[in-house]
Amino acid sequence: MISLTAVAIGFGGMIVLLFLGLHVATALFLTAVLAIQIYFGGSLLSVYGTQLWSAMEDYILLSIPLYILLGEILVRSGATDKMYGAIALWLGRLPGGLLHTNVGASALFSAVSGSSVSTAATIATVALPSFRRRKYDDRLVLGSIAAGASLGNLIPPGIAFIVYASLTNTSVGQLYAAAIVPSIMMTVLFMLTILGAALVRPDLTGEKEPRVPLRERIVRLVDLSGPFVVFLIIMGSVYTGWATVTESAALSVIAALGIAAFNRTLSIRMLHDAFVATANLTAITMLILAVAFYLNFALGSLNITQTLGAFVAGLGHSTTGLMWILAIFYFLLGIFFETLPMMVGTVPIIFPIAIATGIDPIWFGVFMVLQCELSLLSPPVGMTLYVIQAVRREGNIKDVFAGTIPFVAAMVLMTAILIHFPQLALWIPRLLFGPS
Amino acid sequence: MYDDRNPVARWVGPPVRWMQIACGWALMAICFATLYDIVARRLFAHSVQGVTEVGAYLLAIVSAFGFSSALLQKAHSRVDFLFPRMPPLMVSVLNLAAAVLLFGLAVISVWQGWHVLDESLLFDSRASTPLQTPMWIPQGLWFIGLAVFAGVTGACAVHAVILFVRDRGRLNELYGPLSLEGQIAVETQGTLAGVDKPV
Repeated sequence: MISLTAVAIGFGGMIVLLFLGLHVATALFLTAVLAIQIYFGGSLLSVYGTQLWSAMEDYILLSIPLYILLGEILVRSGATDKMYGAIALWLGRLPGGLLHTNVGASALFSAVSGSSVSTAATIATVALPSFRRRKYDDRLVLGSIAAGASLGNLIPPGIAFIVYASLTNTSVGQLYAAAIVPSIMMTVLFMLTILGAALVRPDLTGEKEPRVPLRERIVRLVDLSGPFVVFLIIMGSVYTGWATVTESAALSVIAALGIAAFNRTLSIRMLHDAFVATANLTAITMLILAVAFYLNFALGSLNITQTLGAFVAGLGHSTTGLMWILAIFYFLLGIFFETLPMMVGTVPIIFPIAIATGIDPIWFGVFMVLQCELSLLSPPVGMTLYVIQAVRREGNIKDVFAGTIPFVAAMVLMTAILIHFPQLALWIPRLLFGPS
Repeated sequence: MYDDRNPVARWVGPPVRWMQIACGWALMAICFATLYDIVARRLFAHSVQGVTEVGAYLLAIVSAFGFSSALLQKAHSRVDFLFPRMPPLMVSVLNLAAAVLLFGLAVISVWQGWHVLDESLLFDSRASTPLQTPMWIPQGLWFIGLAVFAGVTGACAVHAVILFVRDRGRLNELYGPLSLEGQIAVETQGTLAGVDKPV
């Protein structure tokens, strides 16, 4: 069994390699190879090939390129601007006005497109011009777009859950079910944040939207149908047992083709662009993931689970105490790291600790993805923030940073709620799948 | 999308793009096969064999071919938070190290990948599924993807070494982490077209 000091040195070493700007995959691989070299004299290197093949040839992970392709087609299909307009009709008259639309439209769109970054880019492009006319406070506008876009991975279906599930051997279906209540609560908390800001400082929000007759609002709901149908296809086919998660992703791609055809944006050229983007984004994810499986295997061979389990048992922390320590750890790490490196780099070490303490793996998955979302939103490192600034083309990135602060606070509050009320996540999976 | 100033990207970029487009059509095909499979299963209680199996192979192949193109776009993730706070020479050394070590990872992958393929060829392995796929077919394509990746990382590593000696500024330009504009371009490639109408 590997000693605790060795685990700490190895983990610290890996973080240093990451900070030195090596490719994330290289840093994980070097750590794995070093561990294997020291403890097994390199004999386990020969299984790397088999590990690589079996990690990459995984039907469940096929859902990753399919969800990416779905998002790439949807984003190019021109569904966003119509959808934004339709949501604005319903939420625009709340105190805080169009800011709610930012959260609502970003949340809906990033849920189906799966990419927070593309969502931030498209919603910012659609929304920013209308805010200029209406004299809202810039920071809140930018913050609300970033906050909504960051919800993408938490609202099912999301790629982060697939990555977590495959690294920890948990069920994607259960994780999606577990995420339903927390993601709704998170969206509501964001909207309450805006509501609070609008009531305390009415000067931050702009002109009120004119009243629109109910009839027109209902008619415009048609514009929401595209993304909504995709969502229903995915969730419906999985939970009725008609299709597996990967199959439902395949179905949703076909639905997205239909939406693009309906909007008259479907073309070979558009598809080819979507294909190239899909292949690139898939490759980025899969390179890291394939190597992470090898690291996982190396750590498993070293009986790291027992070492960490004994250590955690010795600390005598309660589940809640440990979750708080992890929340702080991830908050700090999230300042510097993006979602994927953060999850893939820490799950091999942190997951065994969580399990040893008796933390439910499904609950922990929701917690983990929420922490990843927080890392996207927390300045100064967070792609969504820079994308929004890039679309804005004026002012300073500091406005975006400032705008996210109330929403970061809301997310921290959500983390606290999730830590103290695990039932919020576990209720629906237990209802659907029985007690685990 | 590629950096035209990089000679490796200029040469390899176009064929790699076509490989990706081929992979995209293969993904579309798997989507329609899945649709057919589900309908057949529900309505006619008969299942098309092998959609799952072929889909899994496809992921391995699509990813392996994607590695090179993502590299040419400098899209493979790196944590570059400290780079603006480091002296330029140190940044050059780290960029060189990143290029060379990634080549190392690619070489080990292709070497170990060859063992997997070689064994399948030697024993004429077949999948233990109704399709009984000869394993050398998917593994061969996967191996080619890995080999292309090793070739491209190798060319980049050599180029990076040459630049380290001759022109370190250019090394940082071509093999440094992606600039912010570049990252945005990779993540949103073309997606902003068609959505610039204000509401």
